[in-house]
Amino acid sequence: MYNMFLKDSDDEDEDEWFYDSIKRYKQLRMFDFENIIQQIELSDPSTICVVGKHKSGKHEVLELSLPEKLTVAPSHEGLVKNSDLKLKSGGFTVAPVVQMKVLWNQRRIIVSEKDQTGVAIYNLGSANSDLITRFGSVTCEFVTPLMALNNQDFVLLTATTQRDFVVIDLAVNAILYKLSIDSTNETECGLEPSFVSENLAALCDRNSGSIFLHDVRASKTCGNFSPATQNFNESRVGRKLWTVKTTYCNKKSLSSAHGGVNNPKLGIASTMGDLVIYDLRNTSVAVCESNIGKVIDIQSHTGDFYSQVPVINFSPDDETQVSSSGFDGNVYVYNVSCTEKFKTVFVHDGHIKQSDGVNCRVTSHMWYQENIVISAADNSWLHCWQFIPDALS
Amino acid sequence: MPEIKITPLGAGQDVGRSCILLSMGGKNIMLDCGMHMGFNDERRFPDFTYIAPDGPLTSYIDCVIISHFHLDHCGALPYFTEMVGYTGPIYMTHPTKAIAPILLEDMRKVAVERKGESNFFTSQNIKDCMKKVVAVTLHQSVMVDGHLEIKAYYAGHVLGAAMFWIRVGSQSVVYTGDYNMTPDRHLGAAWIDKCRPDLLISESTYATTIRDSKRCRERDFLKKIHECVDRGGKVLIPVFALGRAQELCILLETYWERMNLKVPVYFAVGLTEKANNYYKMFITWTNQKIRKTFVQRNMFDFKHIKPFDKAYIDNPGAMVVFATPGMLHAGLSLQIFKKWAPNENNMVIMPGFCVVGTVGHKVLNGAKKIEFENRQTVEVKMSVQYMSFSAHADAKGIMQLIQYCQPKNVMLVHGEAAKMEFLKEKIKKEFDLECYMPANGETCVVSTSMTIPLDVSLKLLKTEAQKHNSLPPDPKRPRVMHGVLVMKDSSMCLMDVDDACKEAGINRHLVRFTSTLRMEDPGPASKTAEKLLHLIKTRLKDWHVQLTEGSISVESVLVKVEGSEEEQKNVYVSWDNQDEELGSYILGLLKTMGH
Repeated sequence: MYNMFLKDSDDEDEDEWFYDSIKRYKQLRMFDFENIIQQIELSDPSTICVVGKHKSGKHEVLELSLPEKLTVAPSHEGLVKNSDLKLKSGGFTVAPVVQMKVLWNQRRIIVSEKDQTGVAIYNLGSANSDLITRFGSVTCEFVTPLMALNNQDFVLLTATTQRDFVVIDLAVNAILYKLSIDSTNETECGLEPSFVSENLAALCDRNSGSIFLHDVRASKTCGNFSPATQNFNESRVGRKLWTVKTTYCNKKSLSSAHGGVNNPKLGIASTMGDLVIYDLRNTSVAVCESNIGKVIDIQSHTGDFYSQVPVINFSPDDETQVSSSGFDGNVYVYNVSCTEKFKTVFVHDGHIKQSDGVNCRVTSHMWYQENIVISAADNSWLHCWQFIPDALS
Repeated sequence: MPEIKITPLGAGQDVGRSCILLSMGGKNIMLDCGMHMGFNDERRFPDFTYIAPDGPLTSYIDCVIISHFHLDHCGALPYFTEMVGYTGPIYMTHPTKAIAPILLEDMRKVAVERKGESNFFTSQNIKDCMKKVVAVTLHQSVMVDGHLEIKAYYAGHVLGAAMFWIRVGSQSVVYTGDYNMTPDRHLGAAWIDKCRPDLLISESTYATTIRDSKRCRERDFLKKIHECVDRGGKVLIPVFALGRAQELCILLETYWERMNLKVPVYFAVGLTEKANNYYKMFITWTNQKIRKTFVQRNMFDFKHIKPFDKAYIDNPGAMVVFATPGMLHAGLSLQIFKKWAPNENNMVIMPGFCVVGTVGHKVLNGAKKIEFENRQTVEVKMSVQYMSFSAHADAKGIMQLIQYCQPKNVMLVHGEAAKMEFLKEKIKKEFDLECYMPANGETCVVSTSMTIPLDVSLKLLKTEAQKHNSLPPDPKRPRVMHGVLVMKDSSMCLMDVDDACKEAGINRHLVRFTSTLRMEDPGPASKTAEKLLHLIKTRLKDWHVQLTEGSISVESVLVKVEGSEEEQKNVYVSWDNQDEELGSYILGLLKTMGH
């Protein structure tokens, strides 16, 4: 039976949310993808690279130009009509992508693929072709390592279940050295790497949230600290996992307004809702210690590391703001200036509204500029939203 | 002719107009006949001389199909019929037939009266052209002639837009025109059944984009207007008479009602009469939600939107006005613009494309001062907002359509090949289909496997079935069936040889071949015959091999051994021409026995 109106798009509830959104968001763009987008990275000042999981199990990498309405100066926004994402290039990876990083200004990406040793490098499209193709690989014995990059094209790779890590100079594709962090407790588990500044990296113990600082140039460890909350929750039911993020941004042309380089901050978050912020000038005391009151059920997300832990990011415009996603279908923005002032600044609940009543989960998000955040959910939608602070839902 | 040929007319990389020549099964069909809005000379019309450099076009083209009323799809039609001289049939949906002439007339007025062009079609031309149009209903099969069949499917996009399925013989093509796969406030999503055409031709201007949702673009529209009227400003929205205007009015009306806004909204009077007809057509064409609202609230009467009077231009305070024409090139919208432009609190929202040279185009390019013929200059301080509301299929939409209709080949027109390799690879990976991307002016040939339907005489089938005990044939061991292919009119039939001879009044001739082998095999002929029988039986296990009165027989093949005990034996192998293969095989087999 012919039914051209199978999906009636006019849901009054959705209309209400959109009318409300006029006061809450400066800009709002929503894109319906074929596949679930799992990761979003900025590849140049107006382009993003996303990793999408196809229903066949294959993974696609897409390079997309951001719409002019988002990238031009606000004074010119009225004169451009383009609010669409434009596909610049695309390609398929050899194996599912666990983590992708962009090699800034090189039109290349570096990916860690499932069950593959080392990491692979893919070329983004060129003027003659819009295909993303595999260029080569970086040899390293770790299987599906986690990666962190700095401005000098140093890549720090960690093994997922051991305490080893290597530092590789991409310019010459050679391992500079390999080190190991001693275990503080019996359970062996991997470390998540993250650069704090040009030469200083932080390695986060996934089980405990302990941070080990490592000077990449001097190739030696120079300190460590642990969240106090760890002990408090020891007795609680269930294991928890931690993830780390810093204010360091290795994209030269996007300098943070507050100068993240001079005043680096580091944040750790756990699957039980802990959120702890440190100022690296004094790591003995956390700047802000809080719990956002949400949990991720680790058991239901077996598989890669990144699907189990929340995604947190520091706002490039305001160092007192940290965003978090992965607990449910929302993206939360918090004020983390200090423990006493901790509060929710904004909640983006747009993804849930599109789910037709089914629970959805935000897979990833990133900050663009001027309070513009790009987030994706497991119902295949990707949103670009510019929120107005203190416009609580 | 198992090939389908496609030539998008137009030169170079221009994507401004659609006009595609389709050749299949000996028929030539023109898909759309659009005008390029960016040119002011002959380049705006497709180059029809390409089709038939000499000779009348009518005899060459079997029919013209128009997908929808946008001028880049139908703008050149009056030129084609009245000035180039095509007199054949033209097909389009009812709403397209009703609306196209209105838009064509508007466009003609601009070209001729505003820009003083000559060699343009006249109002009468438009009327005469439309008289030649045959309107079709969705899903109705239309036979253009004995062999060419077409059927329209709902395409979404705009009122009356259709995708067309075209069949000649056993070959079929689906042409999409412009379509969209996500339903919105006014129109449903395109739909087609699993018609499995040999070729799907899809527009690909948006194939490499992922569209911002319609809802977000509408939100932008409402937000900008609300912010402007909040600060006491006036909003001007230049629109074409039909199409976008009605959609935006419905949108604004709903918002004004929900937010309880009191700011006046006006609609220029000239639009109302045309709009009435438009709404009437809309009811059958649009989605259920709108249909319900029409019934509940009688959409002909907006609660918050009132007819505009020129006198209101100078009214103080905030207001919103929809006025024609859409590119600010003349008339009321331009008049209002001149009055409101110098005030920075005011706003103009351009919901569509503006041709080069119009005030709309200049304003969208950031012009701060506009000069008019009478030396009058207007300062543009008002906020300018450019928005796009068109509904097009994007990358995801194209994949969805391929999934719906399951074509054997895909063709993407009006895109850049180098920028679509990834899409081509995806289509190959997901559907295992070839994807063609012809450049304008280039002919693309798609090979299709043509099926020739044959009738098989029942008698033949029954005889065959009997012979094999009604067992179906094993695909690994095909059975040979003998018959005669008789062509009558346009049908073909496989008949039994005797029946065919009878019908044709011919005597049947039978041909029999005989070969003689000489063998050294002492002993009685019967013994030799037994040896041969054994050999044949071993090798031809599935065949019925008999020995009767000294002769071995397999089908029509006979093997007879003659000769006395001392002499060489003569082995006569004979067969009917029908059993040539079997006969040769047995002969070859027996040769191996000869010492």
